[in-house]
Amino acid sequence: MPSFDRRRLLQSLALSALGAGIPGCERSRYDLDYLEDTPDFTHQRAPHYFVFYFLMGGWDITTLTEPRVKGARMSPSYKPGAIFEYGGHRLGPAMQPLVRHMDQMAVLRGLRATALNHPQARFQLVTGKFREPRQAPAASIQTRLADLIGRDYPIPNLSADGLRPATFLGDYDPHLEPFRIGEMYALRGLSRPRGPMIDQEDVVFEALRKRDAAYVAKHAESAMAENFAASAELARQAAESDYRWRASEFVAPRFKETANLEHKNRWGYQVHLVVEAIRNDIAPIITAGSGEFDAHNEHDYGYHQRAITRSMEAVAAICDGLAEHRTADGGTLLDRTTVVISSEFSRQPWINELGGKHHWDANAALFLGKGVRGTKGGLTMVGECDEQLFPQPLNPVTGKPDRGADDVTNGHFLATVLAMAGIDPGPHFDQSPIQGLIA
Amino acid sequence: MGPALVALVASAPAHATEVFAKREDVSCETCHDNPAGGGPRNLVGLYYAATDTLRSDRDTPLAIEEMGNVVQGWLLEVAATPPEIIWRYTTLNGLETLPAPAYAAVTDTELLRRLSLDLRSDLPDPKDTQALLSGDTTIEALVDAYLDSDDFYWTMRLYHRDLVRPRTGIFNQTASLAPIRTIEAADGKKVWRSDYRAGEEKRGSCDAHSRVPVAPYWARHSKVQVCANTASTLRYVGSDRSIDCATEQGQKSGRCGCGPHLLWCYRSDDYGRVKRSMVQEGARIADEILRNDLPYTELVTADWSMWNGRLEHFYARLDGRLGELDDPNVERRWHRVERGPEHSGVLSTHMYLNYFYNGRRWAQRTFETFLCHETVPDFELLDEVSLDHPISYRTHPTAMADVNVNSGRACAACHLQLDGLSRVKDRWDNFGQYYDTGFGGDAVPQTAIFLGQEVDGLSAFGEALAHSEAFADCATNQLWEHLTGHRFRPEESALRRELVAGFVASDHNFRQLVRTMVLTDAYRDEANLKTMERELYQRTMRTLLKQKWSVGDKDGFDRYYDKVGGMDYRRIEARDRTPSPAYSMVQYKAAAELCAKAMESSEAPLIKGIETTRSPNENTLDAVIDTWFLHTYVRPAAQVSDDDRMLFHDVFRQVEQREGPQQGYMAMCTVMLASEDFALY
Repeated sequence: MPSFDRRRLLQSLALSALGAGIPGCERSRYDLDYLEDTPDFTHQRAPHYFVFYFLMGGWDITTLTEPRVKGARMSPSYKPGAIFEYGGHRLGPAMQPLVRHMDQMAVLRGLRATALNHPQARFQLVTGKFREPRQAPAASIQTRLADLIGRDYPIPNLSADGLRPATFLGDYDPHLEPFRIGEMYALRGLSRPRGPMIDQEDVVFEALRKRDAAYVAKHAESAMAENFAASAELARQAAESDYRWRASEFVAPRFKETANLEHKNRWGYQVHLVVEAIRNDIAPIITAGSGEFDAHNEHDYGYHQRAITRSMEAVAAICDGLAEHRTADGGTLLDRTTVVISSEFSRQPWINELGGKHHWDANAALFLGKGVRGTKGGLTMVGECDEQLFPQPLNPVTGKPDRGADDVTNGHFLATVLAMAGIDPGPHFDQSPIQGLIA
Repeated sequence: MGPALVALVASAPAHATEVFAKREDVSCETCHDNPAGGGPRNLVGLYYAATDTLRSDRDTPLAIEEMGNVVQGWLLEVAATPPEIIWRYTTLNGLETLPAPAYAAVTDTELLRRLSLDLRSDLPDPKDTQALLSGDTTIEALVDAYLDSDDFYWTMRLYHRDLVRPRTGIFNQTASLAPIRTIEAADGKKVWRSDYRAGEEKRGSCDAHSRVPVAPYWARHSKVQVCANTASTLRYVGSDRSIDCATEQGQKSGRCGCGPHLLWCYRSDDYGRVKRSMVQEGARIADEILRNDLPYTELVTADWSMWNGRLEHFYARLDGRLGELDDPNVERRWHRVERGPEHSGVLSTHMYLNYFYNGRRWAQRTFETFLCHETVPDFELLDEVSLDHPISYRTHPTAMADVNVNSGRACAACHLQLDGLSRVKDRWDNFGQYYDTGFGGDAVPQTAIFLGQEVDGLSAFGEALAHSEAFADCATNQLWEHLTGHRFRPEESALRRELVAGFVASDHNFRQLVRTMVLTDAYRDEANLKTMERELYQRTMRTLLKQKWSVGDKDGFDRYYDKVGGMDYRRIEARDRTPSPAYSMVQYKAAAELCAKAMESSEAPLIKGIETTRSPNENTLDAVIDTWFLHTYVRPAAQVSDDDRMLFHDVFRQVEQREGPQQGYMAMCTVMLASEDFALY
C-alpha cells in the first residue's frame, strides 16, 4: 500500500517536464496500442469493475431485505400485500426492481452499523474505521481498489454522487483522488475546453510544465506547491491520453424510464455515467448514489420508500446497461463488474415523535455481478435480523447464525468486497470476508 | 502540557455491556430491547441503571409498577441535574510552544496580491500596485482601504457562511402551508389557485367574472389574477369563526383563502429562494457586526438578527405570525430585526436551529463553529472523563427526557460531548420556537455547566461562551486559517496568545484582528500558500477578462467546481482548498475558454489596447508580457524572470506561426491563468 511520496512525485514532475515519463505513479501506463484496432471497446483495461451505489442518509431495510408487518414496535411504510417472495425469501417492495437480476445477487443481512451518526457511519461504511480526532479519514474501499486495479487509468476513481460521494483518499497519492462528476455530459465538458485552445495544447502544456516546475523549485519546502503541481500534471496527462476520446464517445441513455428514474434527472444521469464510464473503460471504480436521504420527520419519511425504490431502479438500470454490452470473450460487462449497494445504517422499526424514523444499527448490503455467489433461480441470502430488527451474530466462515460469533460489521463487509475481486483483505481489514457471499 | 479536559466528574458511567450481564448472570435481553445487548434499555434495565439493583421479582405486576415509579422519578432527577459541557480544549497557557521560525517574507507586491485576494477576493488594482512601487502608498494604507471596501464585507460574508455551514434542506413540516400555483381557467387564462382550494375552478370561481386581481406578496407592484375563493382575505372563518386562516390548520381546512397579498399561501418555487436567504442569515449578522465595529461576541449574544423580506415572510409562518405581518414585501433588503432577551445571536436564529435541527446536531455545529472542536468518537476523552450520572436528552421541548446513549464505547465517545451541550437548547425546537414548559407542563430544564459556571439556557450559554478564552481563541484560529491556509502551529503559539489577547482587549473587534494578523511577519511568510477557491477564480478571471464562464445555461464554476471538489464530505460543505487533478482540469478549462472568448472582446483589461490581429515586434510583446504579469501576478517588470519572458515569447511565436497572433495571445493568456503561479497565493 503505497503512501504519498512527495519526492517521487516531484521527480516524476521534473521528468515529465522533459517529456520523459508519467508523473506521480510509476505504475501508470496508458497503453493505447490496442485501441487503434478496437474502437468498439471490447477490450477493457480493468480485469474487474466496481460500482458502489450508496443510499446516503440511512435506508429503511424493512422496505428491502427485512420486510415486516405492522406490529407494536413495527411500522412499515407499506401494506402486508406489498411484501413478496423470491427464491424462498420474503422481500420488501423496494426490492422489486432488482428481481430480474436476483440470480446474480447476494444479500448480507444482520450487518451492524457501529456508529449511528451520519459522518462517522459514512466513514465506517467505506473505510471500516472511525475517523480519528483531527485526522483525515482513512482510505476508502474505492481508493484501495483503485490502487490495486486502477493504476492504468488516468483517473481511476470516479464518484457520480456529487452530494455525498463518501470516498476518501487517505494517504494514497493524488492519482487515486476520487473524481466527483455528476454526469457524462459534464465529464465530456470537463475533459476538454471548448474553443480553439485545444489545438495549441502541445505548446501550452509544455509551457505550463516548465512554469509549474519552476514554481515548485522556488517553493521547494512547500507541500502545497508540490501537491498542486502533481495534480495539475495528472490532469494534463489525462488530457494527453485517450481519456478525452473515451469521455466523448458515449451514446445517449437507453434505460427504460420510470416515474422516478428519468434520463434527465440526477439519478438517471448517474445511471448513464456509470454504464458509459465502464463501457468506454474510463474508470474501473465508480461510486454513485442517492445524495442526501435522511428521514427523521414525516415529510422526509413520506418520500423515503419512493426514494429507495428509485435507487433500486437505478441499480437495476445500471445492471441492465452493463448486461447489454457484450465483451470480446462473449460475456457481458456485468460479468466483469461487481455492484455493491448499501447505506450507512438503517432506520428504527417504529415511527418517532416527528412522524419519521430515527437511525437504527441493523443494516444490510447487496452484492451483484462478478465475484458474487449467485443462486440460479433464487437469491443468496446470508445473515439475519430477529423479528424486532436486531442484527444477529453470524459466523463469517459458515455463513450461519452463531450467538458466539462476532457481530458482522463494515470490516466484514469491506473485506468481502475485496475478496470478490480475488484480493486478500488481510492487509486492509481486520475482519474476515463472509464466504457465503463470494463466488 | 496535555489537553485540558473541561468538566471532570467522579465515578463510572452506567455502561450496559456484557460485563453487567455476566456479573448478574442474566442474558443481555433482561435489561435491553436488543437480545444481544446494547441500545435502548427496557424498564428493568432503566431500573438497574437507577438503582444498581436487579430485582428477582421483576416479572411480577407489582414489581413492574414499583420499578416504573422509581424509573420515572429517577429520569426526572437526571433531567434536573445540570450536565457538564465536555470537550477537548487546550488552554492558551497549556499550548505546546516552539520557537518561532525565521520567516522568509514575500515581496511587497506578492504580499499585496495575497492581501487583496484574502481581504477582497479579487486581484489588486494595478494602480494600487504602481502606487506601492512608487512609494505613494504603503501596505498599511492599502490594508486600511481594503478593510473599508465593500469587497471586504462580501469576503467576510462568504467566510462566515462557511463557518456556520448550513447544509441540509429546510425541515419544512410547518412551513408547508398552502401551496399556490397557476392553473388554466376555462377561458384559457392563467389563474392562481391554492392547492387547498382545488376544484374551485369547476365551480366557476376562476372564471373571468369571478376571479380577483391581487398584488401578490412576491410582486407587490403588479397584479395577478386569482380564483375568488383563493383570493379571500377573511382571517377567521367557520360557523363560529374559529378557524384561523393564517395558520396551517386553517389552510388545511379547505375553507380559507390566501389572505391579503396571498400571504398565507406560498409558491412552491419560493422554497429555493427562502433557502438561499436562510443560508445567509448568520453571515449577515457577522456583516452587521463588522460594518458597525460591534464586538464579535455579538455573534453568539445578540438579541437581534438580520432578515430580508423573504425571511420575514417565512419566519412569520414558522412563528405563527402571518396574520400580524401587515406589510409583506419579499423584496425588502437585509435589515436588523430586534428579538427577545432569550436570543443569543446565530445560536438561536431560525436558520441555525432549523438546519441543525436537533439538540445533538446543534451541539456538534456549535462545538465546531464556535469552539473549534470537532466531535468525533474520542475514546481517550471517554477514558479520562467519567460521569456519575447519565445526561438526559430530549428530542423536542415537549418530549419526555431520555437518558444519554452510553450503552457502548463507540456511542458514549460522542454522546459524552454532545448531550451536555445540547441541554442548553432544550427549550428550542427545530423551527426556532421557544417553550418555557414541556412534557407534563413542567419547566424544561436548560441548565448546564460550562467551564465551571452554571449557564441557564441558550442566552446564558451564549454570554458565557462569548466571554470565554475558548471562543476568542477559536475565532482567532479560524481567521488565521483563512489567511494562512493552516491553523496555528506550535511555533506560532506565542503569536497566537498575543493575537487572542489583543482581540479580547479590543472588545473583540474583528476588523482590527484582521488588520493585526495581516501585518504580522508570519502572515507574510512565503510558505503560506493557499489555492484559490471557486469565488476567487470567478472574480479574478472576470476582473482580468471581463468574461463570465458559462456552460450551457449554468455557471461553469458551479457546474464543475462543486462536482470535482474534495471528497471528504466535511470539505464539500465548506469549499475545498485541496489540490486534485479535477481541480486542475477546471482551472485549465476556465483559463482556456475564457482567454479564447476574451480575444473577441476589446473590453478585457488584459486585451485593452492590444491589436490582437497584428503581429507584435519583440518590444511590443515584451510590453504586453510586462502588463500581463502586473495584472495577473502583481509582478512588476523588474521581477519578471528572463526564463518567464523567454517562455512567453516562445509560446506566442509558436502559436502565432500556426494560427496567427490572436491565438498567440490566447495561448499566452491560458498559460498565465492555468499555471500554479496563478492558483496559489
